[in-house]
Amino acid sequence: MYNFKKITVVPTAADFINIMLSKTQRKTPTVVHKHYKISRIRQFYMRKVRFTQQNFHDRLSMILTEFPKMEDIHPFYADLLNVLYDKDHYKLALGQINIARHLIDKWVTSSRVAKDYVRLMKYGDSLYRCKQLKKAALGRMVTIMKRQASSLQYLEHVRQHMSRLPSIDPNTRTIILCGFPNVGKSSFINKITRADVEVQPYSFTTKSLYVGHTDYKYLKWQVIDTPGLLDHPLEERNTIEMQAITALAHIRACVLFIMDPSGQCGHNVEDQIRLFESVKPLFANKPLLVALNKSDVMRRSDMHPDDESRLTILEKEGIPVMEMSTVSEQGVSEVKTEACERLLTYRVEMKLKGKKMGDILNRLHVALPKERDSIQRPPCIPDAVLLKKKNKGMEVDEEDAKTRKLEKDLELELGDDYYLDLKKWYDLPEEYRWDILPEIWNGHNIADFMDPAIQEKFQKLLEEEEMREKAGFYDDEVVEEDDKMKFIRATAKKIREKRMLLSNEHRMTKTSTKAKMPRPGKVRDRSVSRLRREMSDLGVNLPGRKRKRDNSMDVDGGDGFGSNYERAARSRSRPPLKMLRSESVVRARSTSVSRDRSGLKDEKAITKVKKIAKKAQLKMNRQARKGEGDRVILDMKPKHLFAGKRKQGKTDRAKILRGMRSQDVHKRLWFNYASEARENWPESREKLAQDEEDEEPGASDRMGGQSQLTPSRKRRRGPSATHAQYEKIAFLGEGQFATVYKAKHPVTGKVVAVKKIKIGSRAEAEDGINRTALREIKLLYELNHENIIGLLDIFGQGSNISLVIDFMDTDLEVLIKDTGMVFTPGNVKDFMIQTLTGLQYLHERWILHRDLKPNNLLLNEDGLLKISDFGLAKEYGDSSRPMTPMVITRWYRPPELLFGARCYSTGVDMWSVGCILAELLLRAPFFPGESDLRQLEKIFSVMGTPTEEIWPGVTQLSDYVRFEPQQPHRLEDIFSAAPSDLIYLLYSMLTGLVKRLEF
Amino acid sequence: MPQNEHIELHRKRHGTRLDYHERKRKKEARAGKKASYMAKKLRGIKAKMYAKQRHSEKVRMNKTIKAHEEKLSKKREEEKVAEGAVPVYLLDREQQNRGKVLSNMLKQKRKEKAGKWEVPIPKVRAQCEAEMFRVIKSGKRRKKAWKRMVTKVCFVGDGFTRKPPKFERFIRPMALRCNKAHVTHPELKATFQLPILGVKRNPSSPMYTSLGAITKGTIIEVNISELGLVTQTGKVVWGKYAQVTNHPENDGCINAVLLV
Repeated sequence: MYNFKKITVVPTAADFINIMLSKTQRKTPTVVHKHYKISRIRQFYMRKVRFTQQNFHDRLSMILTEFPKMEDIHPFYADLLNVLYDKDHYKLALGQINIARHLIDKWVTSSRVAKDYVRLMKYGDSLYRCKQLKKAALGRMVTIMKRQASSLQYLEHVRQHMSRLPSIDPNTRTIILCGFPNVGKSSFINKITRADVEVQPYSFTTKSLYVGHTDYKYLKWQVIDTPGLLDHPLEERNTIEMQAITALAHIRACVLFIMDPSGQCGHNVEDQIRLFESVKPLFANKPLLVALNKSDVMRRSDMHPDDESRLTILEKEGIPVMEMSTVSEQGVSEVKTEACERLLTYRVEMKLKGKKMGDILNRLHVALPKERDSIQRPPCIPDAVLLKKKNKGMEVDEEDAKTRKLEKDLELELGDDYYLDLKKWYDLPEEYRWDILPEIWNGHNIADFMDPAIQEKFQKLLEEEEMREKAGFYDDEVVEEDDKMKFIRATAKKIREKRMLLSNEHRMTKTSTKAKMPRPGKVRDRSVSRLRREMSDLGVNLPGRKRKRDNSMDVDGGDGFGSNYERAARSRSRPPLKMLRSESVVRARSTSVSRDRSGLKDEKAITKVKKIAKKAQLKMNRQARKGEGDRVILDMKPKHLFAGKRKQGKTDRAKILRGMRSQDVHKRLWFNYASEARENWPESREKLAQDEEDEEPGASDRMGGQSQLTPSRKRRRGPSATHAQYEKIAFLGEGQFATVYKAKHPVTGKVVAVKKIKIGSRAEAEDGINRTALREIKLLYELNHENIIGLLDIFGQGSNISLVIDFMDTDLEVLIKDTGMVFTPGNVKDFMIQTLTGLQYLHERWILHRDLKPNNLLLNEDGLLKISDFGLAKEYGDSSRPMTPMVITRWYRPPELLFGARCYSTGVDMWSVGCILAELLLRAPFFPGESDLRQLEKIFSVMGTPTEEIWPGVTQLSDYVRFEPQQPHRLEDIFSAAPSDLIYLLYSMLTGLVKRLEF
Repeated sequence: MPQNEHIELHRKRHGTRLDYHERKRKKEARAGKKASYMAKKLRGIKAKMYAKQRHSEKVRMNKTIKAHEEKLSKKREEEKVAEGAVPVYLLDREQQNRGKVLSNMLKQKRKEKAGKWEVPIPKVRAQCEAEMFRVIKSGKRRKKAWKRMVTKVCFVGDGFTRKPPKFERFIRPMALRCNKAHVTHPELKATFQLPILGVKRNPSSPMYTSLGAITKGTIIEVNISELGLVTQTGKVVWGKYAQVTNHPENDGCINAVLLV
């Protein structure tokens, strides 16, 4: 009825202000841009003021509407609220809120913050002025609210208390318990309802109204327990008692006055009667009942005669006095029944008395016909009707219905012999009733087609067959079809099947109503293998060999056919001539169980374990990790964390990442790897490197004039990808000819480096593409080695050309320059062996790199070194083709090139490697010359000035310049920490001077 | 206990949870961490508000701690220094009362001379006309520009009637008209909202005075009969001057100091 629980929370003044202002901040635009016109700025701030005002208005109106108005609610509640919260205070608080609303609102003429300021803002001629006005307006609204602090607080208290008031319906059937404290009112309500009121032996346990509900005559009855009343005038009553008085005064209910004849409550019967008399005016026009509680302690008959006489006086007034005991539950239900009954009759009476009832009754008229005379007037049924009824046997039937046996009875009687015979109920004469009905099927009587002797005939046939079998009639052989026929049949069958399949397929494609989607890419639908497959399906074997790829399908071995196709690059391996001889597998191995099954009893356990494992992986999968050890961070610098405005702790993750920028991570990773894993590297591998070096010049000797590249390598690139397929991740660097980006293949997720070749000068780009790029592509396309940078893909876009190469994390130069890193001998060896193996591979294929320097030796985090930048690389070995001496970065350029030699070979690369080795040891460039001459000077200061004796033909070189003769330094003095074999290696790399010039 | 206090009833019947006090203690112990987390986490206006609240809390706490410390520590009561007492090392010097008196007198004289015009805010920024007026264009082609609108708060007397538009050179918009001012009595330290009687002087220009424009530093005449000040002869003072102390066009109200 009245739901006081629904009132929304009234915030405190401070909260109220916070709510309002932050709402304005949240829901109105916050940025004034530079280009805003003054009109827009005005609008901007006006909006803020209006919005805030509206919010204040809404919130305050909500408070005003939600709190009940004293005049509108039932007088019982009005009075109760008055008793509890003081009506004046309540009204005043709400009135204050109302005034505040008016002050803020724009609709009141006298003081209207919002409207005034909006008007003032109309004449604002600067942003500053508008802003100040806005600030003033909001400030004034806030001040108004601040003054309401006490009202808001009071209202919040009231709201909280009101929400906990018992939900009493003042109009329903109600029993009110009243009496002195401690007489057993609460015990009584606990007995008849589930109100669960606290009962204590001291008075005033109940301090407020309690309500419970009980059931009588299928009706709901409300029982109200009131706090105890004391016998004193109304003015002296406190709030607790006043609640009881309010309930008694305003609720039309049956009043149950409970008395304690034993006097255990601390008041004797006389006092209680006096109280009864004093509050009697409140009982007027209400059914009243006096209950004598605690009959287990003192019965009415045991009472003092004076008291007894007082009770009898009451009874004489028509007030029933009943005995009960809430302890022994004696008489409790009787009291309840009596009270309910009285109230019910009273309510009916009241209803009858009421004006409403009169209105209804006025419109009702119940006619009671009076007897006219004493003549009997029975209903008249015509004789014909009676006769007809009789003929129909209706009465007979009725008789029969009682005696007739039901099917159920029959079933019980007959037991197993019973069958459901429906035919006996047919409306047919008895003789036809059980006739067999003809079964008609498709207009024919089945019986007409029945041969009565069919059973016999069948038997005969069987016998005959048996005899035939016995006689060996079937024994003669089936004529065997010859192979040809068989083949024909098989083929025909195949053809039939195929045809069926084709037609089915055709039908399927034809009936499809789906929109035809364009295919994403051109699928290669015609191929030799397909042709071969289809033809073989059709039974036609094509002659010729298949390529290696299709070997698995090739049944007849493939040799002996004349080749229609290009031969595979490499000859196919023959099957082994002999069986592999090895020791037989030990028993433990042969009987071993795979690990995912070991230790598991049965299939059930296995599936269970698999399930568990799958579940355990689920969490990892959700995080897109392989397992706990997978700590890979795919994107070290995600754009959204590093770009733009950072709010709300966005930098937290960035902070973590900042500590481990990609390069640092890789360096660290690599360093650990190199220092730990390669510390004990076998000496022999270094020797190997030396050997290789020694061999190198000889190799060039062997080669005649012809320079030839071995082109025969399996092509590892797939169809050329388009640029769109690679996602650019980061910019790595820019060189003379190209820009390098880090990119990712979106499908495979592989991280690569994309080298975008710049369009060079017109002369250079004559044939459409930069020469160096062309050279690089040409060479890289042929090369495949662990220590050579791999070319994964090439694609063009417009006039650009981009090379997709392996992504490497860093290069040797970075490592050398990083003073924080220590190179152990193992590290140096590792770098050198990898460089040299790569170089060996190149030289074996008659390629000179011609630009070796630490910068071009790339490293990845596994410590794998790759030689890159083939922009200057060239095939060598053809003495008729002079080469330019303007190659190799100056610091790593050998003296013969500085002197302008045009015929040179692998020695130039070896010099560079020597320089790199020296640099690795020194951690600084070995020959850092500022110009070509200075470079030579530096070289000769270490190596000694070459003379015609040491280096025959040096004076003939085109750019030969004579230098002051200098004595060579001992390399041991420069590299004091290096062992002798290392010095030897370095020396041989740098002083291959004579050998270096073959041509 | 009222009927619907379920939580309290339950507590009364069954007591609190066994770990109630421990949890409570822990929660209280964590409060500091929570506060610091919030201080780090919040951004913008919320952070500002939070910081302010924390600041005031800390100040309060420090003050109470100080108070307790003071209460606990035993201190000797400082002897009151008598009026005019001089430290020992100054005892031999003569008091130069006379010089001071002289200079005071001089100052007083100067003050009286200048005192006629001395006001609480002696210097105010001049308001140029461009700032004061907005040009209103008229004519069919909007090329006439002889009309001005005052963009500052104005006081317009009761009996004012606007001239016909053709002759109305200055418009004073209704929204910018004010007839009340919040006047502070500097000695009483009390502020009253008083009706304005007129603009005595706008320091920027006599024209502004005649227009009744009120800017910062303007001297206005206010009706102080409400205050009940009395002249020496026993008459109730009616009007008095006050100087405007704020920018009424920015604040939407006029604050002034009474010139006494």
